[in-house]
Amino acid sequence: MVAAALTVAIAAVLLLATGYDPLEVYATMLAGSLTGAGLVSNLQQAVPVIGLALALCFSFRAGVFNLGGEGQFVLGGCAGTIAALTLPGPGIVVIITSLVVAALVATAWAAIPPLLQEHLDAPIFVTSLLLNYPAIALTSYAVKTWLKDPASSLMATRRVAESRRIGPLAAADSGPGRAIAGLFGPESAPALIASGLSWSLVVVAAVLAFTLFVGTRLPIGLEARVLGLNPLLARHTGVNVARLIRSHMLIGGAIAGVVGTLVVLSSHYRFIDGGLDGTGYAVTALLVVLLGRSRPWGVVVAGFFFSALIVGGQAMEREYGLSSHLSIIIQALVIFLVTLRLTRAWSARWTS
Amino acid sequence: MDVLNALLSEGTLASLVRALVPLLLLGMSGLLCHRVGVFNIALEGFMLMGAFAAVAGSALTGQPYLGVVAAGVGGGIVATAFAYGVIWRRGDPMVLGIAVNLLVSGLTAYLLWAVFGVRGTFQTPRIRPLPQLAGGIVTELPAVGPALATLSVLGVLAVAGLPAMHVFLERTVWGLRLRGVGLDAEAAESLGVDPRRYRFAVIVLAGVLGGWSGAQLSLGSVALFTENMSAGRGWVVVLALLLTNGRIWPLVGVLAVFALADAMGIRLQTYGFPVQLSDAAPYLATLAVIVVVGVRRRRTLSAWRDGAPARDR
Repeated sequence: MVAAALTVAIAAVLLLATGYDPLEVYATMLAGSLTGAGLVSNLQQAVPVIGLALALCFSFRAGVFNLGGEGQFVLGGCAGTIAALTLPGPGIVVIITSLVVAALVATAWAAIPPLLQEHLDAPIFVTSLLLNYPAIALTSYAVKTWLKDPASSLMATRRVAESRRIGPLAAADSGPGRAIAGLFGPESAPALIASGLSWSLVVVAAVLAFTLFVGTRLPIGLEARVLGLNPLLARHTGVNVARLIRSHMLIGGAIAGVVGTLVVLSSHYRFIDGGLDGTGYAVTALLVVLLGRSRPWGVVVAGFFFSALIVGGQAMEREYGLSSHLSIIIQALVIFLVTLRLTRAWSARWTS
Repeated sequence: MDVLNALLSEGTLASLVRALVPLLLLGMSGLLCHRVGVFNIALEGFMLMGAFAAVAGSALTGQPYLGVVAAGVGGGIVATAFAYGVIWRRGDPMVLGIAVNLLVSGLTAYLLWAVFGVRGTFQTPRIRPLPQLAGGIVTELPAVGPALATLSVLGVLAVAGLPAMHVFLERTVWGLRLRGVGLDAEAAESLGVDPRRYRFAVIVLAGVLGGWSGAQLSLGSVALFTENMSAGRGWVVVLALLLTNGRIWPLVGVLAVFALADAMGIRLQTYGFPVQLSDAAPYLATLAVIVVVGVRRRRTLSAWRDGAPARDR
């Protein structure tokens, strides 16, 4: 709470210094992220952010800082798009195959850092981060050369066929969509959510269930938490640390790749050069994992909170022309201040 | 052959030096922290803040040297915040470092927009680059001339600073204390050296150096600022420090590989190689260094294991 209050205060000073009324800006941010269409786009953003954060959850739970989420996300998104563009077959089969392809490619990429650590003693947190740059360069090269849509001036692939996109939960003109609209009214929150959110939500919900299941019901989940809390204890109780880290990096990579393809198939409909890393989802997901302390439910709550900040930031950008970078500043400030544990510092000072 | 000749020319040496100087400054910054036992992954943030502050200072005042001062101050402020969290609040340096890096990344982009009304890349004639020191006869020396001609004040600081730092760390009382704090903080404390004060001071100093490395990046050979222009250099230094365990000359070697790939990548671009290859080249080269260093270490270890007499095992 102290951290949150301080963040609000510091950001307000920053706003004042650059000539804006912080109260008005905050009101716009709140209104823009928690009401009507804002709430819907808040949830739209939260789905991929939470999905990516759950991917990172795995390695972070094992105490491994995987900073390569961005590369895995972009590479998976690119691979999934290629699959969705080229494979034959009915829509739903192609969608599922694309997700699998994305998972495989991103897993392969995520396998490099643990290999480098096991055999060559190179720490995962650096190698995973450095691998982001070649991954993005690779996709950018592919898009600019043989994948480029000749009909478009954008640096992007062709559009994915309508039947291969991931549609809304209940489109406004479909049977269930009309039923919901009839029940709550066409402009009500449930109707907007049902038509605004895609089936990606269900995939990410499944990922959440999987993360919870592995973390609390499977031996490797327990082992990972032991390793994260106390590596020495894990080693002495006979945990195969190398294998555990490898498996958690691979699972995280697979999920990140799937989320990349979900974003393409449910909202961009094409792979745009810089489109996926430009969303800032990967950066936000990293902060979400840190704030949620690698716990799945914590990640969900933090994910909603930070998506609200992003959407609020976009509303602010529309209204005031303010840079939406403010929301990243606020997010990073929250993490920084939470890590300082100011509450403890001050209570210690008052009681002593 | 054309390509090869061009790659081995004086021009390549000059671009190597241009790419290496910011890394050397940042390497010095990281090395200091490493030696006092502080795990500093906020280097990226120090550098980026310095790069922005330098451009802002230079553009607002028209004085490149005031830009350098601003870069030092900017890096120092970021470092003070990081040091406060790590030393006095005992926060996780990894989490704090990530938060600081992202904070600086957002803050510089925000300020770039708020102060100059620009998104992405900021480039105007108002940004005065750092003047090159050498002139006349020096720049006409064979082979090294063009390279020397690229050096600014910060370039000279980087080239002269590393040996100076070596002497400082190895031959002075202060250097000994710093290393002592890094090797065994409790032992240092028992001798009356307060490790926390030393660490705090060193991080702030490292912030100033890191800020200057950013200034060299944005005002050294170019005069512009791009969002996230440090582009992972801080992480490369962290990796180089870990690979070389903080030994000064191997560290310079690893950084030189990154710089060489950077320089060559840009040169290859003029021969029709894709721009993405030159973007990725420095990172791929760094990963290649990991492989080479790691394999050699493994070999040494196994040779020792095979060859050592049983009682030594």
